[in-house]
Amino acid sequence: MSVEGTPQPATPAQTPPMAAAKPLAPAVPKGPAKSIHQIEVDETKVPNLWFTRREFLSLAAWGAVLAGLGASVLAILRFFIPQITYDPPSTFKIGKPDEYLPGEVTERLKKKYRIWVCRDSVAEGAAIYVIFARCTHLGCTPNWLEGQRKFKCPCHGSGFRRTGINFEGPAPRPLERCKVVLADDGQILVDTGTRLKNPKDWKKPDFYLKVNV
Amino acid sequence: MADEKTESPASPEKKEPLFNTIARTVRQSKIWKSIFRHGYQDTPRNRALMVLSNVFLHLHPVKTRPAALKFRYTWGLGGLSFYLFILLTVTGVFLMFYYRPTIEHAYWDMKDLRYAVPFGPFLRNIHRWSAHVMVLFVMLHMASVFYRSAYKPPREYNWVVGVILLLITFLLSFTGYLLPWDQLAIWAVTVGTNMAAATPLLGSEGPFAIVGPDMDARFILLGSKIVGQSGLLRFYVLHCVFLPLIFLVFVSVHLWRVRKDEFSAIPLPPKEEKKKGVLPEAWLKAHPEELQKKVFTWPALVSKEFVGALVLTAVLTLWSILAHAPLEGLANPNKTPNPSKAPWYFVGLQELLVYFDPWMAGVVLPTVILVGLMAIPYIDINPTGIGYYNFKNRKFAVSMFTFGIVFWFALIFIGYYMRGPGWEMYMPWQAWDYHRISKAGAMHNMPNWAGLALVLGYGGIGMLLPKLCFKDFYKKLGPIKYVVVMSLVLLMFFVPVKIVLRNFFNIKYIISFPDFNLNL
Amino acid sequence: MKRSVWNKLFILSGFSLGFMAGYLIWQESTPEWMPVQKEYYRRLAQVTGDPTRAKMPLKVEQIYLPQFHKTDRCITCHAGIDNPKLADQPQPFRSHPDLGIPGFLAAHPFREIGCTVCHEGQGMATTKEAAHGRVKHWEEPLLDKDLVVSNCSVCHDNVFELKGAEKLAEAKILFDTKGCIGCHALNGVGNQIGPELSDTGKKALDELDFRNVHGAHTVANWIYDHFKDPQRIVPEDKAVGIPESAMPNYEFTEEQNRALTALVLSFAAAKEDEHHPIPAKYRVPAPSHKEEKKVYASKAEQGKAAFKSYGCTACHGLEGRGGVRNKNMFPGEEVPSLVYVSAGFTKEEMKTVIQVGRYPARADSGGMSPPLWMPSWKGKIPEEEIDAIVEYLYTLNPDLGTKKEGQIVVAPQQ
Repeated sequence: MSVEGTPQPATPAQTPPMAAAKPLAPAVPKGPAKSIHQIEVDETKVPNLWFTRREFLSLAAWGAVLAGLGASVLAILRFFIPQITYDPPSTFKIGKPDEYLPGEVTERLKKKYRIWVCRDSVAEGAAIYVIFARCTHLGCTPNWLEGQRKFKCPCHGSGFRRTGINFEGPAPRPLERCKVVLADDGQILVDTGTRLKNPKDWKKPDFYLKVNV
Repeated sequence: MADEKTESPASPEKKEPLFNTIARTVRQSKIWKSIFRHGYQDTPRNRALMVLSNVFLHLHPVKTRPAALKFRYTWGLGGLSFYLFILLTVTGVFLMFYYRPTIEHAYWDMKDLRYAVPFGPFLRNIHRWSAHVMVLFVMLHMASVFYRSAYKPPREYNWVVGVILLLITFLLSFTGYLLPWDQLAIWAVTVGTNMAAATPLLGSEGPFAIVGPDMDARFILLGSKIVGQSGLLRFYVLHCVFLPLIFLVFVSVHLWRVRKDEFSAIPLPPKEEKKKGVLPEAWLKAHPEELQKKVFTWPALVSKEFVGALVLTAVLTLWSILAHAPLEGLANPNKTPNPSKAPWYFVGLQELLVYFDPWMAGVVLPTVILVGLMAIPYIDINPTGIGYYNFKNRKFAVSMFTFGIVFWFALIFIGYYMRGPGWEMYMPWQAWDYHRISKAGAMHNMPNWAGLALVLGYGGIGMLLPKLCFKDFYKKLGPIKYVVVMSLVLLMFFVPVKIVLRNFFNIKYIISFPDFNLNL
Repeated sequence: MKRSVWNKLFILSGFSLGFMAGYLIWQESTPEWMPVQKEYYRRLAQVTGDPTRAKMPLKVEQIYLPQFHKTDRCITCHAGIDNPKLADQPQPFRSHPDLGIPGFLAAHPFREIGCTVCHEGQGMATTKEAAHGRVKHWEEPLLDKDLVVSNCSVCHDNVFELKGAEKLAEAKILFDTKGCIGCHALNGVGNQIGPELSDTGKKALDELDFRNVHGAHTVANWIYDHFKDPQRIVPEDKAVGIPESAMPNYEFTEEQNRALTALVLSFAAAKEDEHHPIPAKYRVPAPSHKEEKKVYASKAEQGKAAFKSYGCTACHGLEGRGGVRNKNMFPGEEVPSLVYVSAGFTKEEMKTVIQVGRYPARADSGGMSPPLWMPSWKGKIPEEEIDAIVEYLYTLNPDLGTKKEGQIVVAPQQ
């Protein structure tokens, strides 16, 4: 670190950083004011300093200013992440299991809650799972095409099977599944805030509601 | 003052026309003189004062090189872009008087502007069309500056500022897109902001995500997980206050640097010399006095700028009378229109979304494009061509840039005119069929080892081959610049390679690590 | 470019700007509604004999109803809407008729309920084309006069007992006797073989296929045409794999088709708007009826009633005589008759079929799956009533217990 304004011909390489620990001494010899070029310097007597106390204070102050600025940037960033939002609640009840027929995909809740309630056929065990109606590509709402038995996204043409597995178009991964449990009153309780991305977890009990037919 | 004396009547005997008396009285009044510090007579001094004593015209230098005056030198694109910014600010402020940024009112205020506010439709139309034209002009301005090599020393920094202005222009237009709160708006913005969620690390759906959906980049943009009230308010503030202010700061620097660094317009050799094949640089060395030849900016340049702005205004006015700005149905977050398209200048990126995952098409590629553009003046060390078209000595630079920009506009064209429902390919004259079944066959991923080998091979060979074949090229650039240039070029050509793989070999991903959301 | 070109450009653009500014001002000062309102005041002066009325200032008039989130500017042209003196004038000047319903006008003050809440259309617009909603991106155009009745259910809870809404009541009887909820759900009650009906009337246009619809592309026209000929509106689409509409063509009369269209529209109108519910003071609750529990002479009688009320007749026909077409179904491409069901099933088996439901076999295994199937009724019909239905079905067979030669019977489940 070279310190400007001090008549030190010494290059930074000659001043070991540890020198800061040495006793501080004035850098400029006292005496009648001379032009900076007239000051004669005895190379051997140059105080072997990294920076003076004043410079240290000034550097520290700069450090504090920068730290303050950095903190402000973080604070501003935090300011833009609200702690509360006015989004609709993510947990709701959707009626009793027998309202959902085995082997069918129920589209009627899509408008209100953005979910499809799917039920495996009786042969598969008639379990209920809830798919979040949001394309994993860029968040459009796909449609269930009963004729082709698939979900199709209108934005970029991604297609998903009834299970939510992506099989055509650009979607990178399957549709997400929502948490679904049976509430104490016998109704199905869905939580769209808790979702599964990985098909490995799909058969987890809180996401795959087994009900007797 | 000397000028004023000549204006006084020649002789008191002759009767002075009344109009002259009035004009003279006004001009000699204290009020007039306090505002205008000099006369209007066509003298060199007044021409200079015209610019010097006017805060607005003062953006110009007093004198300009004649080459810069040629319309076909700049096509007026920079100046007209700035004029459009002013026009948009003025019309935008007017529109703010009738617009409330709430999901309850925004759409219906648009209907009011359309049907009940005097001159409301015209204001909204001209605001909308000017915005489109501004985006286009800023892009073309960049291309024109590139082809004239006007970014070369000493103007490198101003080119970087220009690229930042291009980005802000995009953002200004994009944030404005949401404000009508119709179906077009929220779905374009849904697609756009979901790209933010695909940012590596900081997006909840990007590769190596470290934050959840309630902390990530999209959440900061929208203030919510969905495009709703807080998103509308944020975009409104960004569009009306924040971004215009930032734009103003950068455009001030930009214009200031244009003045300080001067137009790149250098005097060009006369036609006979040009025919002999004399390069402008060599000719200029033999005729250094040519550099000193300048003309007064007022009126030579200012009048042309005025006429240019006037013509553009006339065109925009006519356009606004003939065509209404689009306003579709009220925004409905549960009903995605088919197809949903981003604003036209982002449709190229949306088209890339067919071939790449969002983190690549929506985040990495745009970032690389912007950074790559900013890097151009620092990696292009070829000093020739400043101020004139020159392909002969800039073959590599010109062809790479041309490929990039043609590719960009080709993607926009395909996305905008050739994509129908389900993002299916249609010819522009074909009618859309909402019930057409996708012809795309099933796709498969390359095994990761093959994919990695392919990518490494592509990168390695691409990096090494030019070095071996064109030793001069490597020597001139040096290792660092060489690596930067080749990385940008290789990445640019990787995009069409992936398009071919996807379209003709049905390969979805070359490399796929689903656990990290990392697919290529 | 030469100097002269710049000069020409200046002159050209300068003049055209001036001309266009003039045009804009002219356009703004001569709106479409202005001569209409002027004519209205002229007629008003004539009718009332008060010439000062003809000189009223012309301006955009509106009914602003924040409670409905509606702004209706219709009265800018239809200015005489609540002035009985203009009853004999032609449209758009005439006053609103009382529709032959005593007290109708008093109960519906237009300045408090607006226009579009019943008639639809784009209330905020001030040109005829746009205000009547016949423009792109406005999906609720002015309703045909005979369909306006569908919007009574916005405020009235039981429209089927409403004076003036007799059409809806007639359609509702059809709706019940034809067993529509056998296939369709209404507010979640019913089956999912056909689409849910409670929001059909508010569907977005791009959710519907208009390729075979005659006339304007409105939801009302689609529903009407679909009642007329379901298979024309939703034909089989082999490429996409959509079977043709499973809805039988009931060959309703023209009037019935219109009434049923109004009925379907009224289902959606009755649904509460989540964001802007109709305020309580506008709501007209239905008169309360005492629930009388029906007493049936026998279990089979109860079953007969249940068979009708749950919509079994829609597919299996009146008294289970069958006959509804079900394309590509094995056997016979028809929903089976239930007359001889007692010959093929034990009571227990029948109960299981009703509770679990079943998919029919395909006649052509490579063809489309048959559009109709037996849904699972478990939880939809109380067990007691299922038993009654089984009992009822057993009474249908004229020669009890014997399987007749050549008759198609439902084979017992494998």
